[in-house]
Amino acid sequence: MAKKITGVLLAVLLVVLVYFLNKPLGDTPALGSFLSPTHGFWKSAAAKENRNTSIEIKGPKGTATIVYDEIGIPHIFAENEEDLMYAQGYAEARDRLWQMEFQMYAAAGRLTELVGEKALSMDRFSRRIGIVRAAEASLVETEKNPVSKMLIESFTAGVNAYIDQLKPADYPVEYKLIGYQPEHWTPLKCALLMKYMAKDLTYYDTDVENSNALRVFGEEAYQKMYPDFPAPAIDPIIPVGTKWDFKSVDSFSAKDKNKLTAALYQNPYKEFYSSKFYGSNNWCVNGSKTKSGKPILCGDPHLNLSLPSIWYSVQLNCPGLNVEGVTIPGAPGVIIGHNENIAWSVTNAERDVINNFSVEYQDKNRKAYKLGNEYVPFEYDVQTYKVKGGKDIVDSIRLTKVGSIVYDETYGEINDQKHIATYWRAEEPSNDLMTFYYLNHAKNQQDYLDALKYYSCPGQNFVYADVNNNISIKQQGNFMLRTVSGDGSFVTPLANVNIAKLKARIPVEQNPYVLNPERGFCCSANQNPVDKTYPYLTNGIYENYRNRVINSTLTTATNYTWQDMGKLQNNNLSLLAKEILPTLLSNLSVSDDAESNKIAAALKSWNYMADYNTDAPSYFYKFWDYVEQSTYDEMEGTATSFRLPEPYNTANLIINDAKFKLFDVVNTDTVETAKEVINIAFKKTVAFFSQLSKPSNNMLSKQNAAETETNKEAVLWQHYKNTSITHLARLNAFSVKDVAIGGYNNIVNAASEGAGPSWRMIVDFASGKPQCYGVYPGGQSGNPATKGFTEFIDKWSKGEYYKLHFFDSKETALKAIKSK
Amino acid sequence: MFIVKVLAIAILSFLGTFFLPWYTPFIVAFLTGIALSNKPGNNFLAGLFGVGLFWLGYALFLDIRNDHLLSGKIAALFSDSLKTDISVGILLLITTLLGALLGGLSAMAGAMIMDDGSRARLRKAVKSGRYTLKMK
Repeated sequence: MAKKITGVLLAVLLVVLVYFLNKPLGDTPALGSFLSPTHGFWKSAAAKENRNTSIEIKGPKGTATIVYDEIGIPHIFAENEEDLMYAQGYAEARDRLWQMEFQMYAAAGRLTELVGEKALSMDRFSRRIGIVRAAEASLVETEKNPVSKMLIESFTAGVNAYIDQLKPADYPVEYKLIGYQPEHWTPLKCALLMKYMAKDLTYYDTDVENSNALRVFGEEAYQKMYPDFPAPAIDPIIPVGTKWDFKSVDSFSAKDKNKLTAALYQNPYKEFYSSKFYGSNNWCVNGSKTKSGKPILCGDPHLNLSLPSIWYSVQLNCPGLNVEGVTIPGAPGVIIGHNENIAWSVTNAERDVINNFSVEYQDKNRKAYKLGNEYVPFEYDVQTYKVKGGKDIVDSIRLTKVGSIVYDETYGEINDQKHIATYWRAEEPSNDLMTFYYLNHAKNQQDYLDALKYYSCPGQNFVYADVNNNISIKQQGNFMLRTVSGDGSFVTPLANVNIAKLKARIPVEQNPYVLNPERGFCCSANQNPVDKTYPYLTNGIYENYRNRVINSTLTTATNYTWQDMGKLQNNNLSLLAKEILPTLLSNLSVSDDAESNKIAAALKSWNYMADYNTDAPSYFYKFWDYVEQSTYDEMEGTATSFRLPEPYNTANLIINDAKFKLFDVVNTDTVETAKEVINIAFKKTVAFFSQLSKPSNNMLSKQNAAETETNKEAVLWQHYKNTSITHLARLNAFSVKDVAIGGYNNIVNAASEGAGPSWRMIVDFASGKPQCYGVYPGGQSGNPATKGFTEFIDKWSKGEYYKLHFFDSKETALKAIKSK
Repeated sequence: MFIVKVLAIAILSFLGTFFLPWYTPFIVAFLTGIALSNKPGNNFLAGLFGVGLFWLGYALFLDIRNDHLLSGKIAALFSDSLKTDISVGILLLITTLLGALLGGLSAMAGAMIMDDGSRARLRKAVKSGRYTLKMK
């Protein structure tokens, strides 16, 4: 009997043990199910690579066929668009389900549901700035249009069809690690994705930083540090001298200018803003520049480098449509690519689409705010956060007629009266999806222009080329109508705002645009869109190096082939170094020690190419960082937020204005100029690298030699820069670090520490039919258990391309994979 | 008999876990313990080998077919968070031990609950048709 009781007790104990092994503990996954070979991570290793194979999908109307080629790109064939979109949703979920969902958890501010309270401040940021409000407003627009409604509904049904047939044992490994199940996809998630991108590409608001700089450094210094048009010269997207053949519509006079708010502000959660990481290029040339006499179009949009990759390559084919390119998992259609007649690509417009206003409360209860001469009661956006392992948290966000108050006494702990209401143009309802739908179907120049009319936010430069040798570029977005210098760049009182003026937009047909320019090419690289003759203000943060490298190359280009374009996309010339380094070196008094001489010599003999296997770029960029740091030491260590001027403007000040007041170092009694700053920065650079290359002392001599060797390696640009492609959940084990790639910010090959060319595409019309070459830093598969997860990284880092298939029918596609 | 028991546990676990939860092998081991013998030590070993070998074999099969691609990453993940070196071998060992121990204990618990008298009554009842296994 005692044995029996022991047996029962043991059984009970085992049940309890299994129960706990089935539950995640904090960040540790549920160990029992996670380690179980039949259900846990071992089982996730059974995932197949989708390649040289085909599947049939039963759609809402008929059957679609997905043919996977040798690198896992799906070529989808259907009889109608409903089935096509359904199959695209299915294919995206099949390869990228976890990524699609996780991105939308981030966009919707729901990460607390997966990882608990540590994500709360990030989630609150997403919801307080209004990503969800914006998505809901644009979903209403999207569903009003029967075509876009069909797109998102068919796509959603396809994603859910995949989810519904998935068994828990087959969930991607991230679900098992974090411990949750896929939920159904919804049309709202398609809308959220667009706003997520809008946040990523426009939410780097600088009004607060600009106001602070103006207040602290004065008007004159401000104009030198942050000029609208950088001196001495810009090289805008629309060639200088292009005539504007329209009458500007401004009906607001200069007296409408809102006066500036006299206060210093801070941004408590700067890390949640999108970083200033511009680096996108696109260009096209017509036949006058190419060997074939036909156009070539190129694009390399720059985004955070992540795994699974942000882009997913796909071909979509049904009667009346044959298009190929890349999309973002979660989006129907093709975002960048080509069809049989045209090709297009995008870069970020970098235009300012945010206005900040200081709020004047009625009283200390903060229930109403001043607008005009009256007090208006707030409306509230009440948000509930479900927290893993905790209670729900409710957040009440004050809404004004222009937008929400992001920071207040409950968020960011701004306890004084310095609260700001933010107007963000992404909150204006739009149906951006239709732009891509019509671009996918476009046959000519007019179709392309008609397609762009739908496009609102984030503003983009759409470059275009077609089989008839037309080339074009247009900057498209819902841009604010501003005409008075400074308008929209600073924090101004909400009480004085003219809402009609705030909401006014530049008419679509007056956005910067050029067709078949005389120079034979179009190009954008996040620079100023236009010169001063354009009748509207185009304030933003612009770059002024990559554009000049590309434009000077294309100006002299003749007989170019797609390979020449590949070389240009992978060009590592640092024009910043080429222009500023001679001045830096001529100001240097190098002290006579080995390390200083070594670094100075390396810089002197450098050819300005930021190649991955050289050391000079490491020295130069560290040196430049210290130059900026010593110049703008005024911005350090205060609670006030500032922004670093663009390198182009700082370089210009060093060369042409060496006595500029910010060169003075704050904590010295003497007055420093650019020369002293340069020497201080160089000394710091030498100190930094002697530390880096110093072997640690208490090592055995043998190890010592090995360590010196690794330290020599550490100075090489590849290792010093450490370009990393990071897994979305920030798991190091699923990330790829220290990629052997050159380039940097302000270089055409803009591969920096954590961002870079996220998709390199060349579309060559040489044969009369477009041939696409492409590569991106990742792979078609979003599953860390497959080779496809990181497959393309090697070619991407080497500047090589895949020649992509563009099949004209299902039969040719099936034949092609059978012959493998 | 011992070999039969080990195989029964392994095969039934294998079949069951394609439709049932991850802890199915322990239920199988427990039921085998109830049905086949009341020697707890013998049953412990049968459960230990039955589930242990099944888990080891299946994990190895999946892992080799995957070229250790995922297991290497999971090992690195554990190494990162535990700040100690975890290899794929150790992962495999932990997995096998977990399955083996739970399997062994489950089978032992089953054997301990049933004494010879109860088992005889159970057999008699099944034979007399009072309990029938309904198969679809």
